[in-house]
Amino acid sequence: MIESLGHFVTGLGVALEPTNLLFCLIGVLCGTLIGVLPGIGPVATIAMLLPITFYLTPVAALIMLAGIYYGSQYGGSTTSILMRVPGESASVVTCLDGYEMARKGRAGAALAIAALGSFFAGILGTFLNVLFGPEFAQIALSFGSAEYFGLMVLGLSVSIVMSHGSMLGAVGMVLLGVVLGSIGRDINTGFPRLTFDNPVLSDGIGFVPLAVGLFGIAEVMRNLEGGSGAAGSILKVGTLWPSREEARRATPAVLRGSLLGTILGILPGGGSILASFTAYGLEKRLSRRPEEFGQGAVEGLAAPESANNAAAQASFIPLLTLGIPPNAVLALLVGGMMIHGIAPGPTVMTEQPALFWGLIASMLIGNILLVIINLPLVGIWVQFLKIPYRFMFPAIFLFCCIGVYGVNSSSFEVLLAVGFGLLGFAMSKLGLEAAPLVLGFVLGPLIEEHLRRALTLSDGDLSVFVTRPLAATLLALAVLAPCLVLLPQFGKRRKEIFQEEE
Amino acid sequence: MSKISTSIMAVGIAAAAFTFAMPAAQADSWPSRPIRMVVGFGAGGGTDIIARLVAQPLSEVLGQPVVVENKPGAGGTIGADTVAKAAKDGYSIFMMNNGHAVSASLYKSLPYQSAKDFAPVSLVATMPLIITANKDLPVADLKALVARAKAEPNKLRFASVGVGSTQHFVGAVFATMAGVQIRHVPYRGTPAAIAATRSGEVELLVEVASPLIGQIKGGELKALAVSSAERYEVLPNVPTVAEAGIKGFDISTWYGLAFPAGTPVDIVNKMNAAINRAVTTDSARKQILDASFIPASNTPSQFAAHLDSEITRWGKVMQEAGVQQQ
Amino acid sequence: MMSRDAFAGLFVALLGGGILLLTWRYPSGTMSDIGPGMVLQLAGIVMLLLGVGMAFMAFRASQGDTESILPRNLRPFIILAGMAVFGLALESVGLVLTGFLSTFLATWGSPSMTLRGRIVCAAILTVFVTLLFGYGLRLQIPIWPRWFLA
Repeated sequence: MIESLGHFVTGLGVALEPTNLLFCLIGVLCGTLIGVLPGIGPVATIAMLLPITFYLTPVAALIMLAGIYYGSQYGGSTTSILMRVPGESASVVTCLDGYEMARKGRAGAALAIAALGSFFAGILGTFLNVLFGPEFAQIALSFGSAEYFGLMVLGLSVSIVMSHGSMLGAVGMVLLGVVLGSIGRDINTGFPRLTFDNPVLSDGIGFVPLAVGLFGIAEVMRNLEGGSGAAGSILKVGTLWPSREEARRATPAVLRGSLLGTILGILPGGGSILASFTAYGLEKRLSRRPEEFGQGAVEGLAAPESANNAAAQASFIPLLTLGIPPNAVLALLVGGMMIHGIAPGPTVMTEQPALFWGLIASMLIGNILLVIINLPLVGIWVQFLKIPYRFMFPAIFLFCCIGVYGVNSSSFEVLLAVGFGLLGFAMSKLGLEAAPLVLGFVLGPLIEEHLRRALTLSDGDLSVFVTRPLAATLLALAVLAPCLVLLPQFGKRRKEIFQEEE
Repeated sequence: MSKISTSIMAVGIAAAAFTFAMPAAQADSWPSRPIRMVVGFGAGGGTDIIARLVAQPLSEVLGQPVVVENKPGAGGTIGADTVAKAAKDGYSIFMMNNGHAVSASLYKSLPYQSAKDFAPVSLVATMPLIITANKDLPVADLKALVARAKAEPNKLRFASVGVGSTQHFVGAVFATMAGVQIRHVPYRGTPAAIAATRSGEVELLVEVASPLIGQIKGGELKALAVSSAERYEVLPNVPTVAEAGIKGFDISTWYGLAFPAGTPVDIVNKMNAAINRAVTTDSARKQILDASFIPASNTPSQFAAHLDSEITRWGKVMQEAGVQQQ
Repeated sequence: MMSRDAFAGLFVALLGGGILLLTWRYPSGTMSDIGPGMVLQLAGIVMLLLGVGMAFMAFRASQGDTESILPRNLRPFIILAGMAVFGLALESVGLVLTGFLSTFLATWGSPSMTLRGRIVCAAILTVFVTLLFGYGLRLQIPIWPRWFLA
């Protein structure tokens, strides 16, 4: 560990070289920008910049590309808080309490907490990576299909726990999400499921049209309808900074979220969305005021935002120590390394120490730069809320349209978003929640895939889920989670009955 | 002046400015405006990376920007359809790969004809696939693997990135030609397949070369054979499948550019010459090699013949592997 | 009057039934080789039962939330119409015309705007996004009508 810290200091020296510092700044600036803007994400940006990075040193190139990625995680929360439009899967949770805070006139506080929470998570995540990175990375390899299945089921179970409406309704929406997620060619057999013989559907439904429809468009529709629950014509701006009380409540949530994010971020496929949803569920369970969740609870914003950012930092570990990128953005960084003749693999850390430690150290610096860039922006963003809603909603509308189209240059996806907007509006009329649906949509296909593969590998023997200790533990937790939440509710209800009798 | 007339004027000025900036398209002065290179996959995949690596030097040779446009979906067929139906003026070109030949028989119906609707220009790169094993699997080479697979049929499992993928078919063709039975386990994406092979969840992995190089050099995966007829220059110590006694085994993924059919022959030839110059410049060659592709080029008729033979080959492989049409 | 929860239950049940109908013929496979249909069929069945259960419970409770499930007015749907216009027109007529038309249509979602306000709002937004996304960020988006370029 001491040795790692020594390396880290050397890395800091590399990251602080003027050129590297400059490219770190360019990277995080770009990242913040694309995080806020719809229709252009880190994947497209990094892909476009890849050929240009050939002319930089490998360290500068990777520092910049990495900055784009974690910088975009900072920016991603802005539209979720201000307009209820999640840019990527992990910021769906931010929409829940972040947007509610904004509606209560705490937009400034919400944005500041998101930025500060991300900052602490980034710093903490970086140090955890320095100290335990290689050990953490082994976790990724110890996870087989049975373990992934257990983990994903646990994630779903937690999401049902976090719903604030009827639990049965939440289960129904998770299942609807699972079905929507399974549309397209089945990866095990190539069988086209629910594609209606339309080739456009053979790769499945995209995340962005789903989320923009269910959240962004449905919210605009609710507001235009007017009546109770609408945002009214003007959102209050309120004070810009978190109050002492808000800061006190956010701090432990940020710590817990960062820890969860660091661990889950290492796992490939769905790591960051699992982290943000689980962090939310955990906070709701631990809170003395679970009824505030979904109504603008500070913890419900701070924990998932931190988890999401910590997961982004942690995802570099399997890439750098194992050569296995856990998500699409990091897979692109593999391309960035290959262009410079560095084959990502287990030897990068020993053969390219300046690159490895320089990149890790640059994340520390990048996070400091990001918080310096983002805090003043809070003041600018809240100014947008002063614009009357009748001028604001056409802007949100057009941003949603372009955002959905831009992801894949697909008009079909815009029409899909129309459908999901209608679904989201209908769901809100019926008191059904969209968040469990989104999680089911993301995790459903993964759960199915791991279940099928685990059973293929074990020749149909269900005991793999019991005999493998890690898988068994995760599944047991998944069963326990809803019970844990039900118990105190029953307790409370009983208390109320007793009070009435007295 | 009121707000409304100001903004209408702004629109007008903007519109006028961009109208005049728009150059006219003329066949004899080709290229006189930017060319779009359509990729049928999302940003960041192998096809996208090679497209961007080629587009850059190609822009310099042609003196007009070559803009990569991603049209992902349906195994690359949406991008292919876009180009097949684009104007035949030499301003839309398709970055084709062997998936184009596979999809010709994988799908029951396609909105275009895989060979007839395209005017092949030139191959740009190839990449072999590698058959690798978990480092603890007690087989030293492909011969030993075949022996072991014959001793215990249906016991060994190989990972790939999905049913109907080139990786899956290479594994299946190998099994058929070697006369062994190994089980196919599909994974979602290369990283998951690599992780599973490293952790020993499956014994074997068939994957394109680039993501495996670091794993092989780091000793985490054992390279048993490369799928091409010649050895792969990045890993010169790894023998070919044919060297291990499976005669005639020669499969590589390939990448090439094609215009829509009916594009003037002059433009096709001009583009062919430009591509040949672009991929042979020192810096472009180095970038392509470093990204672990093998730069390649040929004539339009050679590439057309290649496309035809690939379509026939994959159609046969699919039938033999028993993959259901979609 | 039926409560909101009862309608929610029926909605879930209806979706479950629909999914079941659509996927009934998909191969469900065996334990060691689960087919592409099994998960969908299970989801359909559970949703059907769940929905019926929810509706039944809501009927019995018979109080619950009695907020009407019908929209108060048709304004929200104008947004959907605008978005559909955007999706249908963009690739043939480009961002400038589509952006203006669809945003102008969308502004009718608010009752408190003058015609002039709607036009100005749509025009400013269109110019802004065209410059930002079309020319600034060079997003892959057609800007002008197709016939305009040819």
